[in-house]
Amino acid sequence: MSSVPPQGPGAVPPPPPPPPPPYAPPPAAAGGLPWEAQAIGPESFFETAKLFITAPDQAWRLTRETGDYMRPLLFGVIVGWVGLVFRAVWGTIFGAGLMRMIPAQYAGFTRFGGGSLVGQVILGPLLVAIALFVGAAILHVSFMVVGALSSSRSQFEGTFRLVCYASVANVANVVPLLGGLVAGVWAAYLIVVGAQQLHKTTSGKALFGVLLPTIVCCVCAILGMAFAGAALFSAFRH
Amino acid sequence: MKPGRQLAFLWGGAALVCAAAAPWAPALARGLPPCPFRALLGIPCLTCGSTRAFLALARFDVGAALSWNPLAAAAGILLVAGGLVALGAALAGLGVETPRPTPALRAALALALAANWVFLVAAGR
Repeated sequence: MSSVPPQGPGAVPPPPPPPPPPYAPPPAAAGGLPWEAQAIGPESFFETAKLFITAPDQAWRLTRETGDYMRPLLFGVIVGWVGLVFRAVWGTIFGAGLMRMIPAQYAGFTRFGGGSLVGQVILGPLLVAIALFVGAAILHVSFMVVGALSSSRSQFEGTFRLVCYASVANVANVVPLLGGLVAGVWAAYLIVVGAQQLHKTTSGKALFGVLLPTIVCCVCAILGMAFAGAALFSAFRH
Repeated sequence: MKPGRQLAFLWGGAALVCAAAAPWAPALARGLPPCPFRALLGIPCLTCGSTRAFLALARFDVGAALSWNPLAAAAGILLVAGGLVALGAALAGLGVETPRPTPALRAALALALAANWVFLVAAGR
């Protein structure tokens, strides 16, 4: 039997070609992160969080470089929101006492992160999502300036993934008062380790890239916190 | 959905939230303290004037925003205006791509940061 379609008047036109298959992300390295390789749920979430907490090197090796923004975003929003809730609770409990010890001109730093507990909890996921996006954009520009992206295939998506998964450090906010500081340092460490994997860069460039926004954007915040910390220390001593 | 289109939706969403939050910007800004860098050293830091630039942008006063901190104003405009364009592209089924970091782009970014600081110091922001 011939496979050539019949020609001539009255012949049935050939069927249209099948539609292209839907977009599928590239395969993950060695199975990928549970959060990306398995169905979204508590099990894959906790497995992934545990991996980043206990074995960050292995976790970043399993992280895909590209393919999807939504799962990393969802992961970052969940852990970021949990951290935000704890910070809001500790702020409500300890905030008034701390405010009395901080000099009036620097108290704004603590007020700025405040707002009502209910407001923070409800608007939290939205604020965390925006913070992840803007934070990734700032970090990406910084990586560009220090030359950390010259061998990167993932580009902005890689930086976005770094910021989202490094948000697991927000669990440190369960510790009152010092939790935020620990979370910041821990997240920076995770990003430096992850950038070497996702952007194929050196640890020096990754570290410089992480520190540059801190130097450029947060000089004021660091000085302000140093003043506030000195005031607190002085208040505790007397 | 392709990652480029996801990014476009994400950027657009961020732009919409920033635009929607603009009326509350003055209330948020009141919580910020004066710049300790300037108080300590007598010269503006790299981000001095950013809050006032964002407040001016919230009033659609682009000229004032650029005069307070050109780089911060440009970043704010890029975030919101670029995000709205990206959202339009995403709704049309398109995506956005981020620029590749060429040496020229790297040099331009570093130069922009330095020039912005020189402007802030010269203008006494």
